Amino acid sequence: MTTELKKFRIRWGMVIDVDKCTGCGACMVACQAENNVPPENTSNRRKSLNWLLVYELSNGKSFPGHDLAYLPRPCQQCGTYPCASVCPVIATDKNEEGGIVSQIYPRCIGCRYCMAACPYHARYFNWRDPVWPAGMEKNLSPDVSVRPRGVVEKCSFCHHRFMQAKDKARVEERDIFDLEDGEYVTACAESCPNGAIVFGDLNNPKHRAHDLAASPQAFRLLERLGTDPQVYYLSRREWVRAQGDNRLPDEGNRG
Amino acid sequence: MNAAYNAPLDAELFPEGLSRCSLKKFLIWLLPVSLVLLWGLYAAFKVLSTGLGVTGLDDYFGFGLWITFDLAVIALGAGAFFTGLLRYILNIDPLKNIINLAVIVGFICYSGAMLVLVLDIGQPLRAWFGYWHANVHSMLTEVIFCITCYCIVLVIEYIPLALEQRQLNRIPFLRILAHNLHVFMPLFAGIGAFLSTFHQGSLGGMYGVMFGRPYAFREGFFIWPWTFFLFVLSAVGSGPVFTVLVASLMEKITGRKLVSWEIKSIMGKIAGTMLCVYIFFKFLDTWWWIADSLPKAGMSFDQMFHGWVYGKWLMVMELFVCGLVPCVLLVKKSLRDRPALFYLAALLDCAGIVINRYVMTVQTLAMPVMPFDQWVVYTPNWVEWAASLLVVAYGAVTLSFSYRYLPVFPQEKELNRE
Amino acid sequence: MGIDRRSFIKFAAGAGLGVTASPLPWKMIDDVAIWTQNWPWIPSNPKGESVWAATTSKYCPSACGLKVRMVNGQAVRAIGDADHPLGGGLSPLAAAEIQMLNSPARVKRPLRRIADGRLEPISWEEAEKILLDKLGAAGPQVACVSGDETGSSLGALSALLAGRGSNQLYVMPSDAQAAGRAWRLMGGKGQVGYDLEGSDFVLAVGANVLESWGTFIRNRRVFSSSRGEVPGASFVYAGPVQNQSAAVADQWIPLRPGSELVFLLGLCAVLAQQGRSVEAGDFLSFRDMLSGYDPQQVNALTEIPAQVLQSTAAALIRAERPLILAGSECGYGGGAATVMAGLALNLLLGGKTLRDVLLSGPVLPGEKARPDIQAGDLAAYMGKGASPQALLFYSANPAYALPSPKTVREFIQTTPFKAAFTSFLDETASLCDLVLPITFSLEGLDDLESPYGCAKPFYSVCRKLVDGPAEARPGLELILDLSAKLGKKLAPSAQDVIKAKAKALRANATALNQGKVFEGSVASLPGRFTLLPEIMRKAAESVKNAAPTLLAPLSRTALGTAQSGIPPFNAKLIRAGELEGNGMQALLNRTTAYSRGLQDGDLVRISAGQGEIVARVRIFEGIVPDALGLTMGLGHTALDAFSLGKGANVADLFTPAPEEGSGLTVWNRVGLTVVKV
Repeated sequence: MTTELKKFRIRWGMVIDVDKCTGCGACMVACQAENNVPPENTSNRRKSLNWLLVYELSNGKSFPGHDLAYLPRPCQQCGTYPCASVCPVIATDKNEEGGIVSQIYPRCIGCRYCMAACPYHARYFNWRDPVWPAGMEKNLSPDVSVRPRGVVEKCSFCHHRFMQAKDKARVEERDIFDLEDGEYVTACAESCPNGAIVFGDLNNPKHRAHDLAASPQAFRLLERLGTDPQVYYLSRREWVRAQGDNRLPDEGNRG
Repeated sequence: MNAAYNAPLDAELFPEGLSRCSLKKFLIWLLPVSLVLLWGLYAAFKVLSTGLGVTGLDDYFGFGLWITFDLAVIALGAGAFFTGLLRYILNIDPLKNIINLAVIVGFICYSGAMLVLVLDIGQPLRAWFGYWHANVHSMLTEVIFCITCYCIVLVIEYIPLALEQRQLNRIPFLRILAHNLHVFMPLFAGIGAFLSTFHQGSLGGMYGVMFGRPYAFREGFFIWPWTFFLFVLSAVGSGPVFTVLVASLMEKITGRKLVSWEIKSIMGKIAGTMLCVYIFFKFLDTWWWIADSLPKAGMSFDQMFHGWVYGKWLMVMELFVCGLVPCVLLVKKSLRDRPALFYLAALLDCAGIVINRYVMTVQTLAMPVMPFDQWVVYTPNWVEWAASLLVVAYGAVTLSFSYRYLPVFPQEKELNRE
Repeated sequence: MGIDRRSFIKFAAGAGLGVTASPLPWKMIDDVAIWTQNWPWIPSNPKGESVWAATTSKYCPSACGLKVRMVNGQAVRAIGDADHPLGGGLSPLAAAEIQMLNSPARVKRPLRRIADGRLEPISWEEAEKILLDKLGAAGPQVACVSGDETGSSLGALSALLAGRGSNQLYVMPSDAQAAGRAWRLMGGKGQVGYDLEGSDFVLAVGANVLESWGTFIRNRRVFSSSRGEVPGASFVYAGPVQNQSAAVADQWIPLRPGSELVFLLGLCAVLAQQGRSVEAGDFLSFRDMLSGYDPQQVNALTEIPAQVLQSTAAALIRAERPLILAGSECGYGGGAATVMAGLALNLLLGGKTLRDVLLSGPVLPGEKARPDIQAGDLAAYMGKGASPQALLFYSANPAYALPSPKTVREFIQTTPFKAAFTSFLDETASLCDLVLPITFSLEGLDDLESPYGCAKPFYSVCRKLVDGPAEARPGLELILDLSAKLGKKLAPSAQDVIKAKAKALRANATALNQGKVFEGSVASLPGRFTLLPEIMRKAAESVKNAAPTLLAPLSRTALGTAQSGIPPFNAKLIRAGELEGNGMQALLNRTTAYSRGLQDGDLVRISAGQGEIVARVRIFEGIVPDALGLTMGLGHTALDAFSLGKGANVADLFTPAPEEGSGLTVWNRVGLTVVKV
């Protein structure tokens, strides 16, 4: 069973320039603060919520030929989503103009089938009730509700900001599906001092992301699995692009 | 009432004409089982009160021991629907001698699996959303539907047996009810077979549809990936012998003959035949997976395995030692009729299916799909083991009571005539 | 009562049916979705109007610009401010700044050490009385350490000390301090500034320019703009580890730890050879000194291939406005000589991107200018071990960050009275007799002037935007108040200090108080420089006898400042290469590890001087041979659960030694002994 590729008039996407990312983690912190992801003091990296996670990539060579790169991984908002199709209760879906894969926390039963299905590890489970150090809950951001234990969560492309941008456009009687470039950006894109993350409508030629995604240096993660992600990566480095997907030894670098 | 001095205190409740051990002995047997049960209940309490953080599951292994356990017991519990199908629909009469046990084992497996699922899902209070907000495209929705429905069917199939309890059977209403249920049993067996085939399949389908997970992903027929059919076949290829194994274990524990060898042999032959069909297609599937599915994903066969924990030995065990070997042992009559080989085959058969469910669950998730990701190893912790053993203990208790007070084995009186 | 069984059953069945048929149970079941989402123990979001205010981060060492969002008087989010001259995005610290307001490590009320060694809460009146008594008794025998180099609090502290007859005010060592000393020696008037925006070729030597060095958020903004459709400046990083800067730089030049100076001198030598010169009285002797650093000799000393040196020099010459940034990976302890060589190289290339950033200077009676305060050498002072009568710490955590913390702790402990003005209960505060809570960023009136690295004079007033803990007092205000109570009135209020500063800088105080920042104009570079080749030569001598294994510290801004420790939000940013579980990771390349009989995962005891830490070997090919990389910012022994028990403190291994020539205490060539456990 595969999922139908839905066509949207607008498609929010990211173009992440790996050659600009220094792996500082500001995007991860901004994401947590924006989306009220609780801080966790755990040495178990596999049990902590990271809507956005920065991976360290290595070209595998020895000194001095070694090279490394940092690759931030938000939810890829796949066009052909492996996750939403398997959710038994429609707690996650991709049915809204913009093509963001939603996650409805009050609907989620916490079966984690979507997590098993996602090859990007973009989905996270609330293994415990969220706890903020005493007093820190006063600094919660007003826009995103806090999730209880037992539900799956993931990057929403700061969907609330999309809603706010649409509201603004409505008030100003503009087309809500033709927002200006930069009118709606995610917290991570906004936070990056290196400008490594460009956010915009991949279908809108007026948006930078539209052009960048078409760059010959652009690639997507695990494209050949057919997930059709809405997150693109850029790198001048051949070896970085090669790590975007699996290739058999006899296939050469660009499969 | 032929109340004898030396009859156990609860002798009045025993099935007509059968003797049972003393109540004291029975209670002593229940003691260790109850301890395991309590341990499991404590684990369940931990999970429900503080969340799944207490388990060894994590964001890489959203599925772990519990799902493996569920899938395994559901496959092994398939003896119920398949024996029911053969007994009531295809009218293979001798199977009436083991159908009661098959139903009880099925009931234990399914209700146990549901118990574990309640723990395994993060929001048990929302479990019914599967019906209320069903996503008909999800294999899991189908699983939720069928498992719950089939569990009800199993209850209905279990009720007439329970009503045959000597004291209950004296109440005219219950007796008539039991009789009527018996009359309708083929209908329920039919419904059960239908539901069960589908959810066994859907459980396999759950993995086969995960196109983001090359280890599990399979193409298929219409909306059903090949794993759908393989899971059905593997379940019917192992369920019947699991029922036999349970019967034999009960014979060992009680020291009484419960099911005749003939019946066991029939069950073995049925399972063996189905296992052959399964293994044939499983080999075909594996070949296609290696030759076509994996290369399409840009991955090689070798990439699917890692170190010792996720090594190729698991596949060798699953397909050859626990696949081909029991096929031969169960199908060839001369081999099947040697009890030692028969039981060995039955054990291997069940083990093979457990390995299959394990690798489909755990290895699928352990294998890194992103080239820059790494293999990760999953180790279940005590909470997961305790909750799984809770089901085993619950099964033991249910079987103990059923055996002691219900006429489970029609042949028992005859086989134990002294 | 006439209810028999039958009628009871009837009633029960009827009631059951009735309730089932009513919407009640269904509504309740459906509501499960809502109340399983809103359990009483799940915190709820604040509601209300959003108010935004611009300010400059006092927490992030890069002094980046912030736009703070507030709801109901609580700060809820900070985002970067692209219009801010030092802004452009967020550092991982600025991103966590709002949450740090309620960090578990905050000091919320004055604390006093009692007989059994614990700290117990006391009132401000009591605290103040103790403090005034002790300071009064100490007389001029009082010293102070400040961790805030950019605020007016520094000058105010110097004025307070001056009133006591003491000049023992120290700043925590930093690259700024080393550069300050270098710039002064070479003839600069203010603080050396770097025109990154105007450069087309940036060579960072040792300085982790895109992660932790100088105004790094601004550096990164400039880097970002250089990567546009039109290629801008090239970035080259030279250092021992393929760090964050190297990951994205156009080129990584591997350097052995501590060989930055020789590398720079080698580049200078190539340029001097080609006839480049500097307007400096001692240029000739500088050129003579350089003759000892031709590419072959540099290669012999540091194994930098001659060809790398040549090509780098060629690239610098090709560039129109090259800029060399010399510093230390860990942000301090790199010494003045390296910075001097870097400055000399800049000057050989025309110095078009160097700036003399003039500071506001003293505005309070008895106040010392920042460069004068920076001239003090805290590590040397504490190393000597002659404790004063009273010791004050202002937002400083030397017990964690200074080299050989053991000596520092002894120094602090032998001081009869020590008090910490701090927002966090850090290692130093934990040693003090008195801990006084001061407000954190955004909670009280503060200011920030020209952080090291900026190209133009910069001044920003950090306004009070939110309430801090009820008993925390704004630091600057507190210092003024204390000084007055000790008999020397400095200024009526913090606002007056800021006004005076603004006036000295010719900035508009009103605009500053509304959140606008001030950027001054650039003073011309001194016409003549002094190069002091002898200092560089002497310092370079020590490269010759390098230990077989050298420490390569790695900076990671996300892990917090020495003061704050790891912000709760950042705990999950720690990577496997930094900590595994809670165990420290030691990075070695394969060749280095094998030659020492070590394998990936081996537990090793690493020692230097008196310090020793245990770590696990992690093979990492992005590090030069014979170097061992350790991440800074871990191994806290105070603060909160997010910082405690995680890895080891690299400062334990820092072995301070005076830099030959400049006399500044350095720890940039730490030799290690690595033993398998």
